[in-house]
Amino acid sequence: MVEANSGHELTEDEAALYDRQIRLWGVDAQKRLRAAKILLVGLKGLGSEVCKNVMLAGVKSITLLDHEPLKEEDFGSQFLAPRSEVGKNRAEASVARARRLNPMVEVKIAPPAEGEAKSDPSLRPDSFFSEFQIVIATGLGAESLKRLNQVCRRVSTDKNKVCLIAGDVFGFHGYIFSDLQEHVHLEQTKSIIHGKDKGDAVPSTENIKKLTHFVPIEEPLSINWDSGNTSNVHDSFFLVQVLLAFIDENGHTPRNMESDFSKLQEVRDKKLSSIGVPPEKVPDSALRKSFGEVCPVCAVVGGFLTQELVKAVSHMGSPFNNFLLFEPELCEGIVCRIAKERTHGKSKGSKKKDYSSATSPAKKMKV
Amino acid sequence: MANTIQLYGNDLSKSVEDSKVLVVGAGGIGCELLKNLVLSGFKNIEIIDLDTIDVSNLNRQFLFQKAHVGKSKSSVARESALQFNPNANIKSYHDSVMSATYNVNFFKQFALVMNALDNRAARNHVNRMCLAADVPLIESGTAGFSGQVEVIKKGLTECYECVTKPNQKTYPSCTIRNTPSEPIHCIVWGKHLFNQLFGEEDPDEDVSPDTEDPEAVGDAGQRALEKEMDGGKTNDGALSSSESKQIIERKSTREWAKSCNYDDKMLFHKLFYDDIKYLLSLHDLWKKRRPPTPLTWDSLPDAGSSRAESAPALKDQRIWSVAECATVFSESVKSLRKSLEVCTLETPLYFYEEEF
Ligand SMILES: [Zn+2]
Repeated sequence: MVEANSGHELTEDEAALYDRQIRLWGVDAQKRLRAAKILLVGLKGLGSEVCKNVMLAGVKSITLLDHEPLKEEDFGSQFLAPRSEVGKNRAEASVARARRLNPMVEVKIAPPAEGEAKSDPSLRPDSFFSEFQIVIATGLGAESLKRLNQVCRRVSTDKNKVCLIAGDVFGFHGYIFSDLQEHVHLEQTKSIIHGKDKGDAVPSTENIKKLTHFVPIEEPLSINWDSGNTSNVHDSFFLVQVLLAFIDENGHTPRNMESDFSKLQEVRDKKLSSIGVPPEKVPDSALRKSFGEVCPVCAVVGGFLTQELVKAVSHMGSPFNNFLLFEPELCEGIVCRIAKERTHGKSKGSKKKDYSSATSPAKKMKV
Repeated sequence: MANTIQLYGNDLSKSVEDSKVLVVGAGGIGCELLKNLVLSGFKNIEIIDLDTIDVSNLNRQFLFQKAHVGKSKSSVARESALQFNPNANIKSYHDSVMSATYNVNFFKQFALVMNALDNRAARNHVNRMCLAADVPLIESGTAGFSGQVEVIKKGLTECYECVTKPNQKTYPSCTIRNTPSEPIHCIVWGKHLFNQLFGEEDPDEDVSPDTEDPEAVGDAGQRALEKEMDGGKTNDGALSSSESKQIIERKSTREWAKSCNYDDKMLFHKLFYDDIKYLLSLHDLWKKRRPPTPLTWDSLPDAGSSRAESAPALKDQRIWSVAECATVFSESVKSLRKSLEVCTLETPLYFYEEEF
């Protein structure tokens, strides 16, 4: 898949439009982008940022899917839907402005769903997902994400892998999770090649293939930390788990401080005790900063998320594995690899030191 | 914005609504910034940019579309951002922030200034204006996959110029003029040549061979050249006496170019034949290097032409043959000569490069 590119060449119009990014990531990456079909689930603030970035990057098509109507409260961060469209489906309300961002990209709306799938995109039939290369999921709770991640893996074939990149913004907080399954990327190493003559020293770049194994979101979310070591995991990860559980129970992210705060506290206590994490890990002060969607946080998280999409599609650049947690106090994106250890030969029963040793030290990305 | 009031609190929400802010630059960062400001509830925003929209902006400056190419960035950015929040008041200026109109009193009216610029001169200028007006400044920049943001407030933080930024990388003059070995050396040479011929002349940016190259021993080369020219003139008609004189007298390249009315073939001959012949006479330079090859206009190699069938389809990806390079050189000289004729300023043409 790394060698293959999509056959036909870029047009001069495309080369002119994408000139500045081709200088950055090269013609081959641009060709792979323009062959990619993307599904975007959720068109609130983060979704509209990702939609804009993906459109500008120049993919083949983007399919918008949202099961909710546009609300007044969206306008603090959603910039694709005009204010006059309140009450209309969010994806449908966003499609006209999305198209204007780049006429070379096809923008579609997902066909209407049947039955339960009307209110939960992860319940759509497998066949709906199989044509995409990347599924971006925003606004979903833990159960839907686990299901969607399973679908992506299930419909992946040798010919077409369907990767999942999930993300959300909760107030000042945000997260991204990436499951690229088995991902190969090219890493450039620069060296100076010396010719026979002194003057012939030429800088050269060599591409080395690197393989990364990812895990489905079920694994990090189902770790029991009871006697595990949480010191390598940023506390924001547990906040994210609480918020994903809140969506499971309430069907939406926390939005109204007055009506949702006590519910959120309850979910916190229940969720953290069920995964063996002391409640101090997610104090009330953190919960208070998790309401609504703060627009600049959408911009930052949406930027990172799209960069991971570009890496996934182009097979260039080292993708992060597997969580990025946006920490608002320090304005940092913290990367944690949170996964159960692969037990080679050992039975899966010995839970004790299964996971914590597999979480790699957090890497920080200053924003 | 009930959504943000519960997060920001009443005081912060009110000051967001009441504060007048200035955005300097409506490029990649400026477009994102303007969107974030109107969505966050800022109501009084002014934006200034000198530029007009180019098609290569559209992949990141998302407030602009193809139909806007050629129009003022600040004015189109204003119109697009107003769609996101029709309640905002945005004033746009299609102008240079360095113009005298924007004096200290202009800056004093803002609660906050944000720089989204692409060049250091304007950054320095806004930095000084904000210090003089005592207005906080948020400075930003991107380059490729990287970027940075910095808050500057008089009396509290360093200013933009407190720490001297490393100058643009410079290269030893003898590398540029005598022994280039990397593509960047040739680009620098080209920029210097442009300034020598059409822009602001800088004696440190001469492109003719450097006789003081420490690697070339003494005046051996000079003597060799003179000898070569005594005998060479008759064998090789290409060396006219005025041209040889020019090299020996080290007349300014600009004066000489003017005297031959920027003749493309004569310029080519001086740069790629006479100067190369001279460089070859500095024998010490080529003891461990591959020596350069002088080129004559009438017999230029066309091997590996980008018109070949095997060449990449995109014109930006094709590699020109020497003959094609010479054609581009000739066309560029002709069109620059034309621009020069209609221009009346002291230093007529300016070499524009994107700065980060
Ligand atoms: Zn200073």
